[in-house]
Amino acid sequence: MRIGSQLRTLSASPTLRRFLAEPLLHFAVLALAIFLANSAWREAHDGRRIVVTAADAEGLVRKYQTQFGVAPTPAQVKALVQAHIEEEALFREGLALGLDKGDEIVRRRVAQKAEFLQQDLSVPPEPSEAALKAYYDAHHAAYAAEDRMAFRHLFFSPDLDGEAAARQRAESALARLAGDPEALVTGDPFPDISPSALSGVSEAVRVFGDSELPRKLGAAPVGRWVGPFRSGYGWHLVLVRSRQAGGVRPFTTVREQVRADALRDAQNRANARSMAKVLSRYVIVRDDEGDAMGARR
Amino acid sequence: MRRLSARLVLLATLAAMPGLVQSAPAPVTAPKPTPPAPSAASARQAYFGEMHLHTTMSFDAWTGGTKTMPDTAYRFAKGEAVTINGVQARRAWPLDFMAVTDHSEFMGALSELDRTGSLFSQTVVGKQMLALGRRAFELSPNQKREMPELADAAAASRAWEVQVKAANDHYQPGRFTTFIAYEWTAGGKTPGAHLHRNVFFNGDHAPVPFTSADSNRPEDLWTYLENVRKQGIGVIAVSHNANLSNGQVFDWYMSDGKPMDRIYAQRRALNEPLFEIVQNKGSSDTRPELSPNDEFANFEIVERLYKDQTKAATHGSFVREAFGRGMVVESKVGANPFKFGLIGASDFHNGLSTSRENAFAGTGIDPDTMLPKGEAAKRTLGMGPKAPLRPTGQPEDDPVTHSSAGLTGVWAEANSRPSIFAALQRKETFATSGERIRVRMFGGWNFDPKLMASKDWVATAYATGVPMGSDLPAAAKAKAPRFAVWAMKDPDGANLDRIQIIKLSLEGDGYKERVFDVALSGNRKVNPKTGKTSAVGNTVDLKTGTYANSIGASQLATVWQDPEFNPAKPAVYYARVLEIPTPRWSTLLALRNNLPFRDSVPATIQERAWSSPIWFKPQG
Repeated sequence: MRIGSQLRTLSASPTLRRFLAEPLLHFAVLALAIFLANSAWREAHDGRRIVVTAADAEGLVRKYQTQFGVAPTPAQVKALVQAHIEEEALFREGLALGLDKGDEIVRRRVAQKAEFLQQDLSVPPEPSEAALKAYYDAHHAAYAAEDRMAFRHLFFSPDLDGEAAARQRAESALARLAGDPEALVTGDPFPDISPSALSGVSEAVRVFGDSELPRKLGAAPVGRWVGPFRSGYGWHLVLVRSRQAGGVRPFTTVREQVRADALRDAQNRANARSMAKVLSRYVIVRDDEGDAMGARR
Repeated sequence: MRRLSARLVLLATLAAMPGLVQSAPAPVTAPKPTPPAPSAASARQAYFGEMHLHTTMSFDAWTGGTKTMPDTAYRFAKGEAVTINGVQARRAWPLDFMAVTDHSEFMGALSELDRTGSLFSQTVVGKQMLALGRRAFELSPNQKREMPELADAAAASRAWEVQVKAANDHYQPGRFTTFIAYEWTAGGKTPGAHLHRNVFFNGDHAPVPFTSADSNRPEDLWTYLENVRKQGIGVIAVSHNANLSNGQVFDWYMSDGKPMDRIYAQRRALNEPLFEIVQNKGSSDTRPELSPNDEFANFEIVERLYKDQTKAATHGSFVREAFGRGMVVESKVGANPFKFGLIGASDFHNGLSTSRENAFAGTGIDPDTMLPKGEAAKRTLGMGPKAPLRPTGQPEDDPVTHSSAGLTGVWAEANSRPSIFAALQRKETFATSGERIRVRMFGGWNFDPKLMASKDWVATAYATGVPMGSDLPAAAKAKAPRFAVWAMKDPDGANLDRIQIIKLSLEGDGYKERVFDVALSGNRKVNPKTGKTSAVGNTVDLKTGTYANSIGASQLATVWQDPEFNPAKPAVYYARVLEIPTPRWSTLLALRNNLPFRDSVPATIQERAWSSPIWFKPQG
């Protein structure tokens, strides 16, 4: 307002009017305005000012803590901050020199960051119970369990009287047990090397070795002594008391595994989709293939 | 005295004959004395695992041609079929637990070269690495540090996230246990010498690894471990290949060259409760020069020479001597730095943990097949062209001297992280040269000589004694301690020859070593004049590479009393279990490829297990 009235006053003079119409003046005023604005902006965003905020320092301390598992000493904090300042200064020098242009490392790092960003953006949502059940139903084979058995066995060790005699003792014992499965028949001591009374064939293989016994155990009749079967240790008679069919493990017991599998599958699909979306924004021209195919032809 | 112990073996065996054993609850067969109440301890089972394995995320593994990622390594360990370079591979039997231990230095960097379009593969350094291939292994730590692209590539690989995720993804409590782990690859005063430690975390998260660039001194690694523990994460370090340390792993001195002090000894015992005694690069129990009276001392010795050496350093490089030295140090500073239990591992660099002699994959595996063949077989057997000196001036090992993998056994309540980690920490562990030999040792003052005949002997031993890895409790009165030892063969392996107890006792400024045969297969007895026992025999057919379990025993057990006990002298006891002779991997590989046997290694070996020790310290 005040400038306006002053200009009006000044406009009385023809010399002044001429002066005011001078393009050079317009240019000078504009330049001054730009200069002033720029100074104000630089005050806040000076390429020659390195500001270390409290958050920056905290970040440095946190990074150190993750790496070394312990908080840095005051002297170490000082050194960390100094290193940060030096890195920042060098980084700006490098930018000014255009060192980020045409550098494979920078190019790839930026591409990777964009890739991670895409993948982070496409984190699949937590699947609903219904979706988990559907996934479980579609992948039953992945959640199958072995048959499990409760069994007794009598052991006949070849350590004392040799292979043939141990087997012979096992056969005599079997004859006595044929009439009465609970008859008092003793074998040689066998240590308790199985963690549970209920065992699947793979657990039996772990305990008895990859031998005849575990294989026969899987098919042995319930309630009748059978054998002798060889294990990695000697001869055994086996009485399977009960057998629990494995089948597919119930959803409730494998829910966590189903969830992990479903999420992993969904993430893989989402990653593929987001990559396809990125690519869809570009026209890909494959001159190389044309040449190669032409050459092949 | 020794005749007595031999008689005890026989007594125990005879008395052990009757008994009804089963896996379901036992019917009452006869009135019995009330056994001690079963505790969780007596229900502990032996679990077998791998504690040292590299994948393509290890710098040197990648240079060896390995492409296996940690995820695949765990799948293979669990018994799944995996495809390696188009070939299906499956482990003979699933492991119970495993930890992938990739080198923490530049972890994942070179594997970035195999990721399509990775940043690193576009760089000059990346292209150099591809061109160098196997020779990249020879870059010195300093050379690597001068290539910032390597650190960039390691960061880009997000290797530690990959490791943590693979370990967590494959942890199935009750079935398969994994540990987040890595190898800190410190060098000693001699270029190339081994001061490496593997670091194992007990949890589902862990701070980023400590590297030898952070520090080469074990004391600094311990500070890192102690800080990690303050965050509530259990962590231990395990040293290995003392045999290749040029006398430095079990040296008398600290990193600054001063003699060990009490704090050092205490920190070492706390942070390093275990030692890996056997693996691909040889065994570290002892060697014949150190144990001239041990006729089984010459087992899988790798003679690695360093620059300008014509003979490998023996002192300071072996476990048995370390157990003796530990007592010497303790007598001077009041703490024992070498108070560790024993484990075994493969240290294979192909990501595939196998432990059988006939599945020897080693470090020099032809990545196309599970077993080397053709030129690769020749190279593995040391028949290829002689390798040039390393830039450190160090000759390459003769590959045929490398051993097949070892295994770790633990006695744990369950196959879970907390349970197995607790077993590792209390040293209730054993090492085997690759066989699933189960071994138990308990020490006590009042074990019944007929203890092993009792069905409840394990519960009684826990209730009235201590398991391996422990200190003997104070004795009520001056008498000799007794040891209950038991061993059972690998269910798919060879019979057992004998159980021995190795005793080291403090004698002045040194120590004395004795090896006792305490349980023998067959009808053999210890010769009272020589203290030795006749050999078990040898059933190996060197034309076919087979053996027969017609000699040896499937189980051995005894209660043994130390016949030379002196209550005034500290002592360490550990058990060694020997199998009957079987063909060495090199024999099987040579037979399969129609190649001659090498004279520099035996055609047959006696595979074995070592228990963790039990320590005795006089009162007052």
